[in-house]
Amino acid sequence: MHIKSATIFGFGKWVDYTIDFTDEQFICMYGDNESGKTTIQQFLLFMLFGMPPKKRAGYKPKTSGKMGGRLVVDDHDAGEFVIERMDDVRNGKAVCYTPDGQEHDEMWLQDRLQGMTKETYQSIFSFSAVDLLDIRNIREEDLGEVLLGIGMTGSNSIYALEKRLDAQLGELFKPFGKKPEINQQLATVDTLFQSLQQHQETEGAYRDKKEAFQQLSDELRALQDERNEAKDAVFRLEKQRQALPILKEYQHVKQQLAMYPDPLFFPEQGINRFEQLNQQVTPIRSELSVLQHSLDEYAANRDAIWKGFYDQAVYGQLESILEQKQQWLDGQKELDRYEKTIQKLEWQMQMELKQLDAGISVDDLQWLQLPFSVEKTWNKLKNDADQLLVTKEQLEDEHRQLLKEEEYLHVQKDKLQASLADKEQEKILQETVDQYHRQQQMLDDQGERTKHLQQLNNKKEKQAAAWLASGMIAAVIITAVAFLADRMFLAGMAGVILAASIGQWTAGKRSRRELEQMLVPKKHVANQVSESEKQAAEQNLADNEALKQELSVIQDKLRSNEMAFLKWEEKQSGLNQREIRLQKQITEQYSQYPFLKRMDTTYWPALFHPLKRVLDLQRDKEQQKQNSEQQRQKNRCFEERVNQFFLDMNWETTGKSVAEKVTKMENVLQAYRDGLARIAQYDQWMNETEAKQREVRQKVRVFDEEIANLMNMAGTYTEEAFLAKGKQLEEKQNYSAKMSELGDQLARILPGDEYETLPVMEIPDERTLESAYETTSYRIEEIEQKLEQKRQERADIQADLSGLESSESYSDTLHRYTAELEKLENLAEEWAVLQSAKEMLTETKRNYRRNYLEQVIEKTTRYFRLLTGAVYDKIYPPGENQPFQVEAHDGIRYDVNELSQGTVDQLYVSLRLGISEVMSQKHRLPFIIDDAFVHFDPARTKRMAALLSEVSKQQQIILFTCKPDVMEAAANVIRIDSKSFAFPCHK
Amino acid sequence: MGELSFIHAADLHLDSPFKGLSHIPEAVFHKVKNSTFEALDRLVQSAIDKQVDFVLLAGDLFDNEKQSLKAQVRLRHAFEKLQHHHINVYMLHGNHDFLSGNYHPITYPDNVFIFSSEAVTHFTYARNDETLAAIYGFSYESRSVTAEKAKEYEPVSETIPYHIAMLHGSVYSNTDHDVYAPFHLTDLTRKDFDYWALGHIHQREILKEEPPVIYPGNIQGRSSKESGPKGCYHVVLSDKGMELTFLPLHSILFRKLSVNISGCEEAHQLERVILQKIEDTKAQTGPELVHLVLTGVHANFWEWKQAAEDIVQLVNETLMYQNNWTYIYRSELSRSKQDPFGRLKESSHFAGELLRHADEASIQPYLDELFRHRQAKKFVQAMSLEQEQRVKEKAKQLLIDELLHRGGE
Repeated sequence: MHIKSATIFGFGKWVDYTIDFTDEQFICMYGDNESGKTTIQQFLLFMLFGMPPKKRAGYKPKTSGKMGGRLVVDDHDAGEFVIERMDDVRNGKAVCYTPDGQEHDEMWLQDRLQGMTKETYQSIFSFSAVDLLDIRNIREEDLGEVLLGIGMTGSNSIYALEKRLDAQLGELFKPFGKKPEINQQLATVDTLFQSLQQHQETEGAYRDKKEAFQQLSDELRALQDERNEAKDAVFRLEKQRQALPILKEYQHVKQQLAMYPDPLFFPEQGINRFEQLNQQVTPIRSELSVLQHSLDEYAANRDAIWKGFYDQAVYGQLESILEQKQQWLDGQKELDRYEKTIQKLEWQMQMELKQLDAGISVDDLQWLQLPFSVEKTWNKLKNDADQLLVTKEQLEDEHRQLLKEEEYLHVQKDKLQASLADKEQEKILQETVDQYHRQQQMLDDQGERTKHLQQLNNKKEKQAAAWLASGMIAAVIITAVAFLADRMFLAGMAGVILAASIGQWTAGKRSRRELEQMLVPKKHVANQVSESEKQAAEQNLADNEALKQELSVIQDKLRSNEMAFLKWEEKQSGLNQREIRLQKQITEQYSQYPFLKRMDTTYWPALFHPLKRVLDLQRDKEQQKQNSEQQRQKNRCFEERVNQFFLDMNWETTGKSVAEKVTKMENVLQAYRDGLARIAQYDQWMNETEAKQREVRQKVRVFDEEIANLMNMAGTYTEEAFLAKGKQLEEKQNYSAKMSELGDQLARILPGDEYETLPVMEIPDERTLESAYETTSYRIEEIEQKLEQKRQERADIQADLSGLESSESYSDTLHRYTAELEKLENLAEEWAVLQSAKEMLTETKRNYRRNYLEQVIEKTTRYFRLLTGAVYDKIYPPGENQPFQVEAHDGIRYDVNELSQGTVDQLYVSLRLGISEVMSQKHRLPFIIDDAFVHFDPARTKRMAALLSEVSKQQQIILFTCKPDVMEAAANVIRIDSKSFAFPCHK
Repeated sequence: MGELSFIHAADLHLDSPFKGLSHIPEAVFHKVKNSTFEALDRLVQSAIDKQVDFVLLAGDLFDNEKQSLKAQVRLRHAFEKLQHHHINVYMLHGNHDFLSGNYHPITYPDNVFIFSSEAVTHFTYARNDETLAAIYGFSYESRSVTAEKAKEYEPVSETIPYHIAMLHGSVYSNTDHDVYAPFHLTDLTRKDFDYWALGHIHQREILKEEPPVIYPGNIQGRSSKESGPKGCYHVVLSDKGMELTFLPLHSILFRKLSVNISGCEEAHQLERVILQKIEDTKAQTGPELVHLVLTGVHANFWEWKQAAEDIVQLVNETLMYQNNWTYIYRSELSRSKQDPFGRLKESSHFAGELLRHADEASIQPYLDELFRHRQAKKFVQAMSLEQEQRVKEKAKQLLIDELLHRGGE
């Protein structure tokens, strides 16, 4: 590659500055210090390789806004092209323009530079005076390093990389370490692996456990079966044990049963039937004997009765006497009654008399007669007396009344006369009024009053007639009654009534006469009076008239009073006559009935009837006494006969009343009669009993036949034998029933199959049974224990299985292990990468050294000989503990330390040139040297210039210097002056 | 002909460990550990919810090599739950859970029908005393079956309405997997089967629609290779045809996420960009494990790489404690595909020399220190060629990066 020209738009102090490198291969850029040489170098590097923004910022021109530039380059492959970079365009990235007008980017440029970086470029294709200092200390390895450093990135990079790799590897893994990551990871994985193995084994045991579980289950089932069998056996044994007594009894009964004749003839229900028959016949038989007994008894009783009787005639006499007994008894009763009646009548009489208290004794009654007229007389007397008394009192009252009235009327009359008006005046007034009234009333008054009075008169007439008629009729009737009833006082009464009615009629006649008088019309006064006068007069007159009226009334009354006194005196004389007449009659009665004296006439009528009754009673009593005596006569005849009979019979009579005797006689007769009746009864009973006996005997015969029949069937002849055979049959049947009952019990107890074998069963020994039972029970216990144990085992396994099933340990560990293993693998790969890198680096380094050192030394020797003017022939690369050595042409070897500074510089330059030549066979990038020859003397400088000139045939060399002698030695010089454009100047 | 519905799943790989998740935090680890079971639970729940007639499990229910009792116990629980809902299970054993392998004597309930030999046999399924379907299949007796088993399938009776074949194996052309019970698609379609329920391939795939030949894939992704939704197919067969529905079952979603960060000027912007991208693309349900690839970095790769690692940590801390957490389990910065060494390899300077040497060198001898280490060799497998190559490449990259880019430090 060849740089043809560089145009700086702006870079550091350079602005719009163009350097034309022409076509020369070796160009010396000359300038003083601070003239901008280094800036130009940096610009070239910037153009070729770019620059980070920070570093770029340092080269921003202060006088221009632009920063960047253009480089025209001629490439072996691509031909001439332009590289342009601007700070503000694409972040300082390159844009390349090829002659065909195409535009290319940074990558393209890098391709052109064959991946060369700025660092590599600097290490190979540029060097400065500063670099020269290092060569003295270069040893074998250092040279390798240097070579590498020169050949690639500089030794430090590779070294640092190696160190880093080592460190990283060390952090990752150490074969015997523990801390590095892989070691730790290995441990982790190992632990997990162990754990995983363990869990896997545990889970592996699942199958075994499952099998064990299955096996245990089978065993358990077998054991259960066994247990069930044993239990069954125990059950059977138990049942057998339970059945043993029954079984024994069963056998016993069976033996017993065998002892009875097998076909045992006996009528069906024989005993029962037999007993039944007996039972039925027994009452009949006993009835028979009872009948016989009765018959005997009846005969004995009858005979006994016969013996107790008297002679027949006695009973005939008794009968005839007793026939009259009733008559006698009746007579006795009659007597009693008479007696009682008499007593009663006497008592009644006494009572009545006592009540009358008329001083009449019972004895008086015997001669006392009381005819019918007496009563009437007494009544009349009584009434007359009463009437007389009443009239007397009336008259007295009347007298008193009249006196009182008279007195009163006189008083009134005086009073009125005093208050009466003037007679004259009154008269006038009266006249006036009267006059008027007469005019008005005269006529009407007249007719009406007359008519009225007429009517009244007629009426009274009729009434009087009626009274008279009725009174007469009543008197006739009562009189008739009195006569009919023989009551004389009624006749008196009729007389009274008649008198009264006549009286009434007489009174009526008198009043009628009065009325007729009233009917005579009055004479009228003729005086005319006016109306008003009349009214005034009337008023005055009315008052006066009233008084007058009153006075006249009183005067009337006084007259009537006088009249009444006259009448009263008349009545009083009539009364006195009647009194005398009455007293005469009464005295008449006293002589006839002296006891009346003790009594007022008033009570006489009342005495009559009681007295009459007492007299009747007296009559009755007499009659009764008479009857009683007749009856007593009759009875005495009967009693005589009775007593005679007693004497005849020589019976005890003392102290015995007739009644008692009659009773005894009656008893004797009754006893006879009863005895006869009983004898007849007994005869009848005996007949009946005999008939019944015959009937019963017939019945008994039927039963006897049946019993005989039963006996026949049983083949026995006696009752005993029959019963014995019957009992035998019953026993046999009992045994048979018992056997079947036991059989049933056994069937209930024993299991079916065993029960089947009952007919042939051997009775087991009780002890054997017991022992078998115990053995089996014990066996069951054993099995149960085993079962329990197995169950427990199985439960444990079940728990294990469940635990395993629910366990996540294996799964979890597996995942973890896998993850950690992967991590380990990743780490291992990481390590492998680092390790491979390190190894490759080491190997490459070794190869590199080996491959290039020889060439480099050869080229270096050539340049060194040229530079030193063949003073030194050979160069030996640094060996072990030995730096560079050079061999002078006299064959003497010198350590690099023994050489002068100038020679060392020459050696270094030679080495760089050598390396460059070896390395750049392909690259051929421009070589930039910055004042590397400060220690060179002019001769050497010339030789150096010549050498560079020769080298530049292979590649472009750009030499920056501030030394004029170097500039002089160089062919093409460009003077650098920031104030002027740089031009190549040719000498 | 009644309707027949079932769920078709395969490759449950219950309780089998995950790959590539060695650096996850404990909480995520637990979730991940349990994810296959959660997916199984969802499978059961789906079957119950859809009221299917039965469930087909086409092999590889668990891994014999890492057999855990838990896997089988949980499987039994799942079956018991299905039994409770009167759902039958027809299952066969595949290359991972082959019959003679190491598994525990767990007894499954009566609703589970297992093809128990390597000969193709069948079960019949009856509903209400009416035989509705014949289900065919075979199990792996040992680790591999290389016979062309597909050719042995023959429908038994024409009176049975549906014929469903279960097969654990792979198509001939498939090179990613060992060729197990290999078949050509024509082997399957030639026979008169209504449905081919395949298993073995973890990537869901409908090989053919008519008749359906289907790999349901596994139910839970277990490594970065098994990304995207995982689950089973709900199949309804009727005289009208077939209804096929994919039911996602995964408990955790594996996801590869590419984020272009060329717009970022500064490293701290990365967090926002990454979070935003995750937010924008997140599935609505369930946690996810994200493999993050950052693209669009040209310059200063190392600076960005360092920054990206820190940012990912920050992002994880932000997201992993959420309910539907997201965890970035792996992140990388993608480089340009161009051969970074191109010219450099030809150059005569040290890097070129190094690259040339690296190409020739065998790294195996370098690694004896660890790989032959008494303790380590128990756990660290000898490297495969592939791995060796990868290590070498990484080493080269490391050296060049270190020498060329960090040389000046």
